[in-house]
Amino acid sequence: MSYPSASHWQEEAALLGASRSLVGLVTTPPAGAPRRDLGVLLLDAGLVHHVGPHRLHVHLARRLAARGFAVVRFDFSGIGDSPPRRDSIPQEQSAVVETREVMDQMAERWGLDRFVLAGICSGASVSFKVASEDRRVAGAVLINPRSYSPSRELDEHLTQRGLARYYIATASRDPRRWRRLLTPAGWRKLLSVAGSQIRQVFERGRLLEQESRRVAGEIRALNERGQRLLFLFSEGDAGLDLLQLILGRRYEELGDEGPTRRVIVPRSDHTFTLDRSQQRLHSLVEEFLEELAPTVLPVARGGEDGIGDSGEEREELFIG
Amino acid sequence: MSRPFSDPLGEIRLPGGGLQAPSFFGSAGDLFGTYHGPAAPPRGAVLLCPAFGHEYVRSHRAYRHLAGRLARQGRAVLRFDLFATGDSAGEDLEASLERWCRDVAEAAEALRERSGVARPTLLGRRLGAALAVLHGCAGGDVENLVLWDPVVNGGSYLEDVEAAHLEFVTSPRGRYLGALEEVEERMVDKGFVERLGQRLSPELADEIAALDLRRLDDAPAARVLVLETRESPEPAALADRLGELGTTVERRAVPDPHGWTIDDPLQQIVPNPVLAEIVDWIEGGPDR
Repeated sequence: MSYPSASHWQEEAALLGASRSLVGLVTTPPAGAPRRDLGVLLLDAGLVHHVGPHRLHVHLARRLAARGFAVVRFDFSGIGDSPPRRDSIPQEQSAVVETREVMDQMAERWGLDRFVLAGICSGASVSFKVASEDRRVAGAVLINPRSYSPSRELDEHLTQRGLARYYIATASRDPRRWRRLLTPAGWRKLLSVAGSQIRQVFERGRLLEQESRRVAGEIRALNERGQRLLFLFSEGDAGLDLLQLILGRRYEELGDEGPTRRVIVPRSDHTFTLDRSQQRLHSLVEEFLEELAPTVLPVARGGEDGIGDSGEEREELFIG
Repeated sequence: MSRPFSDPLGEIRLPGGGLQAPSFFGSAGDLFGTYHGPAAPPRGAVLLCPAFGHEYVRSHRAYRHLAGRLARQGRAVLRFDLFATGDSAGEDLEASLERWCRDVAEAAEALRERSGVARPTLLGRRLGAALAVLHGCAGGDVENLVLWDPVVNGGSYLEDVEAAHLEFVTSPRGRYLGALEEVEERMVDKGFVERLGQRLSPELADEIAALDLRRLDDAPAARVLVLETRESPEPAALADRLGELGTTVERRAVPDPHGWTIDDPLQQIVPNPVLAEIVDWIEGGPDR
């Protein structure tokens, strides 16, 4: 494990969004250090505030700043440190609006016009939606997305499907896990999964067909516009099933190259709890970003925030 | 010279007149916190000491709601992240109990400066409660303490966290992580342990293991609330010891079966009955 020290990045608190009521942290290379012409936004995962599950966003922001990126992590209204909105826009819409507002602010402050959005689970879903609406998004890192639209029904379908596979393939062969099923709670869970599987026989086709057509079309449109997608999954995540169903035969053709990529991190869970899976996640995101912004720009004359001038490449970045 | 809890960015003005201001503060300017100010001059102040590891993440939403409730009752509140946790500077393996004690002292000072209230109440959940007690015992000028499911014995706490970690590894959520023995072996190779996503250095583990609030020599505060949401003999032992030291101790039980569930790590539970009990107790204090 290697993380950059505070001498390789600087951080400040910020009030963001049009209302200046979204609480965020801005992490940038230190004054005088070279920078890249790409901004990064890390979006909330579920109800976990902007530090991310297991502090993943903090570590990632500091690593990326040490490599020349300006990174913002912030809370959507009503989540984490940000108070709720005063209007009545639904959360799935306000998250998109607020992400675009933060991009506006990063553009204004640093002259950036290209961004990468990254998020886990619901953060990935928001990233996908914003990328579809805003061409400034050069790429999106979609980590374990389980939906591409607010469909609770579909999310439940995928969760139960993953659990069914677990009970059949894993728990039944491992005595320690198997014993857990012999409790009242274990039985309840098992019955719920079985019931769900029966329901799916009737409902699955309708739900998935609608969703698949729409999302496959959006992915195609994004790629045609030059926007890149990195789908990053933990092994066995329910979101993998969804992508497979959406893309059909094209899913098998996806690899770790091309405008839409799919990478599976082995031996990991939905929020990358173990250190080794966190390290792998960080490396994959760094590689993706450096490919999108390979050039390190020198510091502009007379300013600390001088992104935008072209010039000789300097390699004085932290290598962890 | 300590960086005061100023807000060069401005403040978020909340409906009803209160405010919320995030900022870095402290002697090195490396602690992140959020100040919640009431609509009128504060009639008291409360410092929220954070829990640690997965308990920190799971407490965040509850702390934000609690801060809002207290501010609406006229109290200034500061919640903050300890060094090497949350948004504060420092990497996981740089954390130390000694440093955290200094962080609590700096946060208390920052709250005094910003609010103008000389003697804040300290509140902590789990390990944060232990830090609040240690601050009081170190002469931190604390009148009221709220100890929410306090960690009393560091060794038992580490065992609980280890058990929760192993429970996760063998649960459906951890089904692709590999065999338990393999996961444990890799941790030994790295020279640190990880518990539900938190890296823990051997030095910090030793410091926590040595923690035993049943052996306190000094009273940390004049008045203490021990709030229990789950069955454990330890809070009772702590309450007994505090009583022996001359502290006025009140124990309240508010069952909260969902408090530490690990089923969905992306959810956050706000235990409203617990928060109501805390506000009620603070309201009944000498600075009401």
